[in-house]
Amino acid sequence: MRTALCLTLLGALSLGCSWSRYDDVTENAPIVLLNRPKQLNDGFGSSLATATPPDGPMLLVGGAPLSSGGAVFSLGSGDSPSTEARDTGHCLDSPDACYFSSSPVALQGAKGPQETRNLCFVDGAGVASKGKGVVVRCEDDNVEYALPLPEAAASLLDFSIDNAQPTLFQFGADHGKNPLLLATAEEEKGVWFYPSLSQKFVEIPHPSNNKGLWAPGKRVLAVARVGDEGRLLAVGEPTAGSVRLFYAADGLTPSYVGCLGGTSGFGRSLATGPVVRGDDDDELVIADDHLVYVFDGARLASLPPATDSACSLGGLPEATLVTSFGCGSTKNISGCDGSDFGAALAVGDLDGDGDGEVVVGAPLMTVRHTERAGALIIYDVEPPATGSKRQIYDFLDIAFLSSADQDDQLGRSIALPNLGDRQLLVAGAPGGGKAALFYCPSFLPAELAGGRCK
Amino acid sequence: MVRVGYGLLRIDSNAPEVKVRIDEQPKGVWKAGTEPLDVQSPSGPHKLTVLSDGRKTFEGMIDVPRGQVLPVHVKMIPRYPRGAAWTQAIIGAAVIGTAAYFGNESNKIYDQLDEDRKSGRLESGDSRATKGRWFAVGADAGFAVGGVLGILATYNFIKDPLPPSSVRSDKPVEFDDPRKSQPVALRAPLGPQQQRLRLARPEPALPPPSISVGKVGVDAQGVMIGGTF
Repeated sequence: MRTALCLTLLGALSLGCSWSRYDDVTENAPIVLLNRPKQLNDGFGSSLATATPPDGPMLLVGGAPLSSGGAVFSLGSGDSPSTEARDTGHCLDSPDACYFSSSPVALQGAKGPQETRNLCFVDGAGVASKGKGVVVRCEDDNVEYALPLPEAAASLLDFSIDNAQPTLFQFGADHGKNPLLLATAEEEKGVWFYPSLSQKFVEIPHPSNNKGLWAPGKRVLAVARVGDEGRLLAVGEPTAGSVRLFYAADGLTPSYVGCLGGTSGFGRSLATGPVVRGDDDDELVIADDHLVYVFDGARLASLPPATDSACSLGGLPEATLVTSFGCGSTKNISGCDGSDFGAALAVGDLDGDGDGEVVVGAPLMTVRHTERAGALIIYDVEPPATGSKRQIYDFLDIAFLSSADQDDQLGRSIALPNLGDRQLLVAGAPGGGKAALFYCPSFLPAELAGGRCK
Repeated sequence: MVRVGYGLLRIDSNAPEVKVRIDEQPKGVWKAGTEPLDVQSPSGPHKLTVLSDGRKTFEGMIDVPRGQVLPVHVKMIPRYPRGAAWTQAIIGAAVIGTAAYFGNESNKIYDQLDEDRKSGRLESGDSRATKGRWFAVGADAGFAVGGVLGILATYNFIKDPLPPSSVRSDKPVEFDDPRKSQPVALRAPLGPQQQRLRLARPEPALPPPSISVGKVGVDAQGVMIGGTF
């Protein structure tokens, strides 16, 4: 009996655990969560915008639209980002009216009040430097200014400020230097843009309305780069299930090239970026209620000016629709139906191979039995098979938070900051007030994997 | 004259009740307040076993005399109580069991974190790490406390300060010896002073015999000797 007792005791003691090993396994973790500034207490991670000035990539993390603001983080060039915000002045703690947008954008090169700025963020609409208009805040010296608005939009903003009734402005911009800024106000009937390095707006009339007025409602904007100066402007109207396209070869005078659509929710989110290998032009990625479509930006831009206002995917030239894909489940994620697959989209070169991957947010996805935790699904678009002109897509990876909480809703927003040799995946989980940096996708080549991926 | 080839063991004890075995064969039960138990056995050495509830069993060799009665007084010593040892053992086992559960959970969490780390899905500040860390601390603390209790229990199981049960034999007496002793419950022998006191104690004085001579009653005649003892 004594021997048995001693053996039992020794066996039990051998199960003793070291708690310091948890420090080892969590140190330099592959996913970094940014610290939410205390002022930004509502919906942190609702929106993201990024650009890469010479001193490293900057990331704007936005809070709940209209009721909150945003904060800028410096991500550095390696895998040691600053998790504390460096600038919390984006529609936060401002004595003036500032209505933060649900789609703030970064301008890597913008025409400031006196000079050109390296990096500015378009926050929303309101008052800045005693002017009313689109509020722009630059990171160089935290200078703020307001871009002028078309008359109807200016009237709407005046009414909003006078009556303390916030109104939502939406934006889109391309990802290159000196981008074009596309803008609209949901309650107003106009869409306009600011050409590269310009504070002067150019209105875009609705192509099928005699007065050129757009129907009030939600609009989603995106700008694709085609050629050196050309810009493809996309205006999504998810309620109507359509995306109207305008092409400005010189970046100044757009012409209507057609309308894509025909499926439920088509245009509810848009993204641009180079997807197809060997082509520097951006592709246009569009989500509807079930699928994500990749369109060749150059082919869309080469369409002749349209006279028909009908919206359809039929009649497109061959290979204009590159590919399309839907949601999928794995052992870790489930619940594609109702996952809001396509709520956010992004295109970027995550593995440094020269072509872009498509990242699709599914914020209501169930992750490891945690409902509405949200996930990101990453696809790669491969060259077409022999004898086919249709590109094929390849499912690459799934990204989610290892300790996801219910209703985190990771994937409501996505951004892909440029680290130099590759782009970094960043996603917002506004339900949990989180913004996460994913440094180690499974398909990352070993030579690009830093210390966090060991 | 030749003695018979057997003898008697006349057994009593300080315990309320004892069971007697000779050479592993049950021979009877003796209870306090009754006559000593006479056990007949062939003469010579035999194994005597005396058992009593809650007391240490006596086992030993005894030499049965030929044709004589051997008075045997068995001193049964109570067993040392093991309540504390059992309590410590049970609590220790429960604590170690809980610690083993915590340790197992901690290991599971660590494995999950390690797998997530390898697949690039582990986030800084993962809440499971804190949980696993506390599980590990709890497991280690539990093992330490359980180990101490186990050692204490082992010591208390082994520890026994009481002597073993024993027997004391008187001088054998003959079968028909009128002076054969009648064993009674053990009593501590008197000390020298007590014996002196006992010897010095005066015998109670007898009343002197009464003698009457002559007429006793009103009409009596003759002599009567009366006395009181």
